[in-house]
Amino acid sequence: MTTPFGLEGKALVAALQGLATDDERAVWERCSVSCHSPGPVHDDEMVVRVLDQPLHVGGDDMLKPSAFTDLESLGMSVQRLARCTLSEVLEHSRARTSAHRHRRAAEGLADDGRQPVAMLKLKVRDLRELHTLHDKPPRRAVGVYDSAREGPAVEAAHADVAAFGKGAAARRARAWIHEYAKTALEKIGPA
Amino acid sequence: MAIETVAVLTWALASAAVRPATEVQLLRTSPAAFYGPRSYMPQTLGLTQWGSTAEGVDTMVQSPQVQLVLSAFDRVAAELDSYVMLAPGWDGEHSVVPTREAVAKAKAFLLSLPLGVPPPTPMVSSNGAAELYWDGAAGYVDVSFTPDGDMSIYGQAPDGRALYEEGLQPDFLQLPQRRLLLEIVAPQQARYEA
Repeated sequence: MTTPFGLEGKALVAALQGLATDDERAVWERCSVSCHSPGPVHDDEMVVRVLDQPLHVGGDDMLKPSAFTDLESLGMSVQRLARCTLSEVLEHSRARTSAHRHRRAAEGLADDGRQPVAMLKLKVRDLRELHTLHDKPPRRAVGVYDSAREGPAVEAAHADVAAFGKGAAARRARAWIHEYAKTALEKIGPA
Repeated sequence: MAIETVAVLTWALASAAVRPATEVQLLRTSPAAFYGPRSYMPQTLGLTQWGSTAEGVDTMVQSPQVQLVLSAFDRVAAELDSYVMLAPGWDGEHSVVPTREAVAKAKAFLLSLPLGVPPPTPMVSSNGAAELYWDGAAGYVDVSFTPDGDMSIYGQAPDGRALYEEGLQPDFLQLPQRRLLLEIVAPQQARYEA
């Protein structure tokens, strides 16, 4: 059987969608992807998703499902809190969005306000078992994959959450993860 | 008056309070789309005193209560319009800006919603989709318009019933499983229809 070695984000999601069965997709959750990897993501780990686009958080701190659309196409980036600290994650996110805004300013574009606005701390087991919260689940909704990158701890702690299918399966996954995560939204104040 | 209607009107009132009175009432410019199927009017808003004649409907459309609801829909349309102003990379390296076609179709769908259906919440996705959704005690529905203008809809009720359709026209009345949709987004309306 092939392994996801070297895959992350868009390439990982495409490869997962090319697998024939959910069992094979689940097997990949137990694989490491690179020599920089600290190892597969375990069920009892916590991951954090930082939201740095204010459009995904509506009025009254309402989490919108659009925050999870990447599940189907690009993979939803999260960081493993067993492999880095929360402050490292937030610092990394602030540095990334700051660079983005400086780049826009240099190009003469208006400031789009991107900055870390909220975060979600999610338990990997809950994500992998989202389907058990519903009656007669047709199949698993998402997988959580080690997709470590070369670099500091926050990069080596990178993981992707990916939908187990396209179309209806991906939309169901988005709705379910939104339902699960909407009460976990934590606002991030200024640095 | 139905609880959902009270909620809509309260929300609309709050929205209107921060908006200039001169803003164009988008939906008023399309009375045919607004009136929609007469069977959805106007009892579901609890406005029974106007009856169901054309004159009664016209009077109702001009009423302060209904105008406030329309303002809420205007806000949704205005946010949809704003999505085409995003820059490439607005939500990360690979993110795509919604096209005018996607936004136009989302707004056409919005216009096709029958009275009694509360305004959806607009959202925009990194894949360039302009979207609308409802999320409440009666279930969840999202409607997505890709940059190519393709429409799809996903919905789920608390009892496990679900729907997914793609390749749709942006017209509520043409949707399959309208009954289930109404039960989710406007349960009072669905009971009235039954």
